[in-house]
Parts: sequence; structure tokens; C-alpha cells
Amino acid sequence: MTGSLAQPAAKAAKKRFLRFGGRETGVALALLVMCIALTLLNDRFLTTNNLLNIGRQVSLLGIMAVGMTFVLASGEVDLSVGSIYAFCGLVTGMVIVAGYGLFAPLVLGILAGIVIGIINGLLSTYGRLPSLIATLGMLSMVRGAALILTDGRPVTVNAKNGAAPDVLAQFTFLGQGSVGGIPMQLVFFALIALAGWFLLARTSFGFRVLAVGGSTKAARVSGISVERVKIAAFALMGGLAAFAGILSIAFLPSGQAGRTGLGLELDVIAATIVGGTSLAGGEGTIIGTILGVLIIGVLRNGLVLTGVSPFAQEFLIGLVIVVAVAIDKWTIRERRI
Amino acid sequence: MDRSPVVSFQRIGKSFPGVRALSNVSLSLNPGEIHAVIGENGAGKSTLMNILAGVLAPSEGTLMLDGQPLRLASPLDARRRGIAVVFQELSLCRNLSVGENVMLPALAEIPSWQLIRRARAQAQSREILARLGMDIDPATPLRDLSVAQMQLVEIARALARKVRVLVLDEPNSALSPHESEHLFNIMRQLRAEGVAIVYISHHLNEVLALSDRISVMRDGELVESITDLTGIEVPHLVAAMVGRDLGDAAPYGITHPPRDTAPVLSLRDFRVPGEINGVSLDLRPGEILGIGGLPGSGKDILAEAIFGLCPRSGTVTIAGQTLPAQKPMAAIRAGIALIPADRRNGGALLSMSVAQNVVSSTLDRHSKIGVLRNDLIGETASQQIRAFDARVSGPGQVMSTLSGGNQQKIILSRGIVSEPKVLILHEPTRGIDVGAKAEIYAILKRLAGEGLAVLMISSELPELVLHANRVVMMAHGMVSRDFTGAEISEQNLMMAASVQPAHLSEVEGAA
Repeated sequence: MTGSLAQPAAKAAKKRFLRFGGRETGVALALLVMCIALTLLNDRFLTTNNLLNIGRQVSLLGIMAVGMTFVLASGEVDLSVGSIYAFCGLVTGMVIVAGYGLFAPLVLGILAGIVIGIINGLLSTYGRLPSLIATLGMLSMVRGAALILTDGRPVTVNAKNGAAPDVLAQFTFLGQGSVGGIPMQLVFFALIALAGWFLLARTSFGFRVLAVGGSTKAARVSGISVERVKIAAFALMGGLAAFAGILSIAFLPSGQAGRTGLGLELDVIAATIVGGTSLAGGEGTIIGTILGVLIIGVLRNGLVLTGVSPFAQEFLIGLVIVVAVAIDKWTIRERRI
Repeated sequence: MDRSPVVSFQRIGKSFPGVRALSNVSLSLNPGEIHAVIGENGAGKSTLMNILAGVLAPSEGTLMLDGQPLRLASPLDARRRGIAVVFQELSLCRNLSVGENVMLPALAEIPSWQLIRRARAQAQSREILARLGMDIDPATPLRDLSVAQMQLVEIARALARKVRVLVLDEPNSALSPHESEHLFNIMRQLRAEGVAIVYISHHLNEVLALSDRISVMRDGELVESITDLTGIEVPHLVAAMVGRDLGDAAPYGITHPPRDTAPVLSLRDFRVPGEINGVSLDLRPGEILGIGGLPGSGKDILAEAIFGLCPRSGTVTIAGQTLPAQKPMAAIRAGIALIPADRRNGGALLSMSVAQNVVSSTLDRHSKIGVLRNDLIGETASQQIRAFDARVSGPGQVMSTLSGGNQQKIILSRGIVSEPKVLILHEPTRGIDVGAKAEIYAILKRLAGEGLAVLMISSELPELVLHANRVVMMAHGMVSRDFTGAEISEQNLMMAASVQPAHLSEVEGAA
């Protein structure tokens, strides 16, 4: 953000920490407490292997949460991301199996996600539908399209189904491989998070997203095209959801239209909101989103390690979401008045 | 008929921290009488009515009901005693039916565990609506009504209970002349039934035609209560409201004429559906042109329509080039900067920093291939903070934590950073303290002196009189009259504002 403007560097840094850091410090602190508790409770938690495992497990969620930060910060919401994830992953998988190499299927899958995102954006702006409704409809339509396309059958990317061996090797490397011990999925998440941070915090596009989400009218008075900014945020979201879906199919390496990414949109929104992005728009940081994603990832991992039953896990994750957002809301009220 | 007052205000005073809103007001409301209360914005009419409505408690003096001192605990308390106040802002539930809206206060008092007898409520509401001459099915959804009909529903709600005192605050602001006449007949009918009616209006001709008694307020005091209206005319009321012995001179008006140059902004046959019916204006560099008018005159949509925030027709020319409609970015590029009326909802980006607010309309200039140049943004912001003498802790301060005056300075600086040829301000000093107001006027004068063309749209007549070179008054969506130099007086402006539609031709406002 622009906290460092024209002030002595040290003073500015302190101000920025207090103002923009306030929210993230709370989330970071909660994450730290969770990590310490799990380290004490279970000696398998703080191992390189387990941490890398958590990193890989949260990567796809994280990639989508970066996109969701833009959509929520612009004052909209996207419920169709789980369906985009499934549809685009399956499309890419099918085209690879059909023998079109690697590059073309990847581009096609991501483009499909961007196009669906643009449709979401058009409906929510010029179409004047609330994005909650528009993307709820798209959630169903896109999943339906995936079912029609695959006839409900699983898509598996392997040599038996016709994938060329070299293409198959490269494709599965994207999902399963690692570089210097770091899973490729985590590498992608890190790169996308870095790019997302730069885009939101340092570019005029990010500025416009926050301005539009903060006050549509004030943004218009400033000459910002509210519609274009929102459509761009949806397009970005669509592209990232598609990419996450492709990585998912590269990892497994299969998917099924009726199951892949079902209900994923709620996890993505929850992680983003736990990270401090405002559902009402105008506020959000990528650093917060990363922390939100990690909280959910670490919690899930910790509950498995400590042997909590899957049923109780589900309950506890919901509880953490409610508590995290409640604390955030209550502290906002104090700050605002 | 019993002519002893229903309600009387006895030496009522009301102070807010730092402000004396009312002092020593004594006023009687008699049954069977239409009592007009007039005065400029801020004269104390609303405060007085809020005391009567039980919204505010008086700091001094007593309110009497039937000769007994009265302490109202709440608006509901006032309503139970037969005092109904219809405020100008509609307070209806759009999701409910007309009948439910009319009966809402009564329905709201039924405990939740009791059933509502819908048929009876409907029949009752139908009766009340009929009394107002509204032939409308109570089951109609409220949202299907026109604003004019909604205003009548609001009045119907007041009549749903026994009413002894009825306060109508600008009740016909959304009504057509024909509908207004209908409302006036209802008021006369209620008067005949013995209701004490308080009528608040800026439309002085209507006040004279309708009232039995006129009380004039100014600066929180009652300056005149006229019981014998024979021979009283609008100029007399205006003089009483304005208070100064005006003659025809503009005592504080800026006299230096604008430079004799070509206009930088021209409107020709400018129209906004339902709001503005053909306005032509010219604005020259170095000039502060004031636009005034009553609510509903069209002046309140003018700024946003020129800037491109709502649909309009007609031509807008800026420095010789025609401006496309509904393209705010094109307006900014052509050299228009807009300072909207509502800072909280439209002017300021409240959750963002001062620096971000300063540069939000000039992002292209403050970024390089889309990447923000924070050094440049900080420089611009610091410069502007100094130039406007804004009291902020630094460019990083969050906008929402600033006072109204400082927010307005920052929003003004945003406009100036875009290097405009024309600065359009809508209610530039609303909700700003006196000191900051003076600073903002000084800034406007300096900017005009530097050759900027300033269009200042305001509801505050003193603001127009004291701080504009030229004033155009609007009425009924058209230009009523154009004033320069010594003609600019509150009296003249007010006369022009309350002109009847029949007297308006489509005058060329161009000077």
C-alpha cells in the first residue's frame, strides 16, 4: 500500500505496520499459536516432510484464494470457482488424452476459465445481477457442462487412454513433481501469490479494485470504470480456478465431473475471509489471504495428526472460521469509531 | 369551535454542543388552523418540529398540550397523544402493501403472539385512503406507487390514528401542481375537521394561499408571527426570512466581472428525464457561477449529469469539444473535476489513505506501465496537503478518520490534481464547520483568480450571494433567472426560486 509516502522511512514503516499490519498480525498470531500447540502435541508436526506436505495440500486452495481476494475486494463474490476448477481440469485432461500435446490443452483450459470469469463479470455488472445469484447459476451451469462433456465418466490422463508418454510425463510433473524437494504445486502457489501481491498492492489495477470495492460512486467520480475493473477481477479468478483445476488433474491424474472440486468454492471464500478480506469489498491483502489459507491447512493437518475424528474435524474447522471472522469484525468496529 | 390552542411552545430553547439551535420560541397551534412555519435552511424549523414529534427534548421552556405541561418520552408517545409529524424523507416499507404501510404503526403495536386481523386492517386502510381521495387497492405493493402517491401514503399513515396536530414538512416536494392542489384540498378539509396543521414549505406563494397564520424563523428564533395575512406578499416574507434590510444591493457580492473570454463550459438544451427540462448555460474562465434552487428544481442532479454519472440529452461543450454522455473518464480528460455533495457516499474513498484519495482520478499519471509510482504519489499528496492546508497526520492517514472539512479539502485537491478547466462543486460546504468553510471559499476564490471556471451548486443562499460572481436560479427543471453583480441578493434569489411554472419560459441562461 502507500503507507510509506513521503515520510521518514522509519516512521512510515512503523505507521504501515500499525495500520495495514494490524489485521494480518492477528491472523499471523493465531497461526503461530496453532503451530506451537501442534508442535508440543505431536512430534511429527514440525518436520520438513509434514510442512512441505501441508504446503502442497493448501496450494490449490491458495491459488484460488488469491483470485478470490480480488473478487471480494472489488465488492463481488464468485461461487462458481469449484465448477470452473472441475470443468477446466477435465477439458485439459481430455484434450491431452486426445493427443494435442501439452501446451495447447493447458492454454485452452485456462482460457476457458477466463471466459467463464468474464461471463460472471458481465452478468454481475452490465447484466445487473447480484454476483451471488449470477455465479450461483454459473456454478450449476458449468458443472452441468462438465457432466455433459464427460458424460459423467471419470477422465484419467494415462498412456492407456492415449496420452503420449513424453506429454504425460511433463503433465504429471506439473502436479506431482518437485524442484529441490519443493512440490511443484507449492512452487506455483508461491509464484502466483507473489504476482497477486504485486498486482493488488503495487499496481493501478489493484488500486482500482480496492477503490471500486470501497465505494462504487467515489470510484466513478474518479473516472474509474467500475464494470471493467470487476470483469477483470472475475476473469483473473476464472483463470486461476482453471489453473488449479488443471494442477489437480495433473496430480491425481484423473477427475470426475460429478465429484471434482465439489463445494470447493466455500473453502476458498472461507480461507480468503479468515485472511481479513472484507466480504463487503474495499479491503483485502494477499498476505492475509496466504495466512488464512495456511490456518485452514495447518488446522486440517493438525487434526489428522492428533487423531481427531473426521466428523469432529469438520465441526472444528467451521468453528475456527466463525471465530476468526467474528474477532475481525469486532475489532473493525472498534477501529472505525 | 374551541379556539384555545392544542399545543403551545413556551419559550422553547434547544442547544447542541457548541450550537444554539433554538432560543426563546413561543408559538401556539390552534385547532382548525393551518399554521405555516417558514425560514431558510438552518433557521430551526426542523429542530422545533423534532421537539414536537418527541424526537428531541427541549433544553429550555415547556411544551404544553391542552394547557398542561407535556414531556414527550418518544415519537410513539407523541403519536399516542395525537401529534403526527410527516417528515420530508419517506419512511415507508417498499416490501409491504399500501394498506400495511398505512396501518403499520397500529400493526406494530400488536404483540407478536397475536394474530393480525388482516381484513379489518385492510378495510380501515381503505377508508383512510379514500379520505385522502386515493382510489387505490390497499393490497397493492407499495413499490408500484409513484413517489407522489407514496407521499400521500405517508400522510395517510399519519391519519390512521386520531390526529389532533398534523405536521407536514414540504409535503408536496414530489407532487405535480395538480396533485399539490389535491393535497391542499385535503389540508383544508382536515382544517375544517378541527385538526391543527403545521405546514412547512419553501414555496411562499403556496404558503400565502393556504395558511391562516405564518410564523417566520431565523437563526433559531421566531422573528415574526403573522396572523392577519391581508396585504402580505412574498417580498415581505422573504425580507423577514433573510432578516437583513436588503434593498436591492448585494452587500457582500463579488463585483469584479469575469474576464471577457469565450466560455469554457457550455450547456445547450441540457435535459435529464424527469429532472431537468432544457437548460442552457455558459461558464467562463475565472468565474464562480452559483446555481441555486429549491429541492426538485433540478439543480441537485445537474452536477452528476454534466459529469456523466446519469443519462442526459442535449449538448455539453468543454473548451470547444463536445462531451459524450455518461463517460466520466472522458469528462475528466476533457477537464471537468467533480466534487459531489455526499462525501460519505460518493466523494471520499473512506477506507483508503489520504494519498490514495488525492491521486485516485489521475492513476495513469501516477503509474508506469500499470505499476504505481509511490514516490510520485507521496510527492503529489504532500504538495496538495500543503497547498490546501489540510490537517492530516500524513499522506498515509486513513480518510475516514479525517474531519469533514479536511476530507473536503482532500477531495478538492483530487479534483485539482487532474488539472481541470472546470470545477463543479455540489453543496461544497455541507456538514463542514465554519472555519473550514471560510478556508474552502478562499480556496475557490484563489482558483478562480488563477483562471479556473467554477460551478458551485448550493442550497445555501448566503453561500451563493457571498461567494459567486453570477448566480443562476433554477425552478421546475429550468433556468428561472440569471443574476449578476448587485442583483445577487438573497431576496432576489428566493423570489426566482419560488417562481410558478407558468411564469417560466425556456429562458436562455447564457450571459
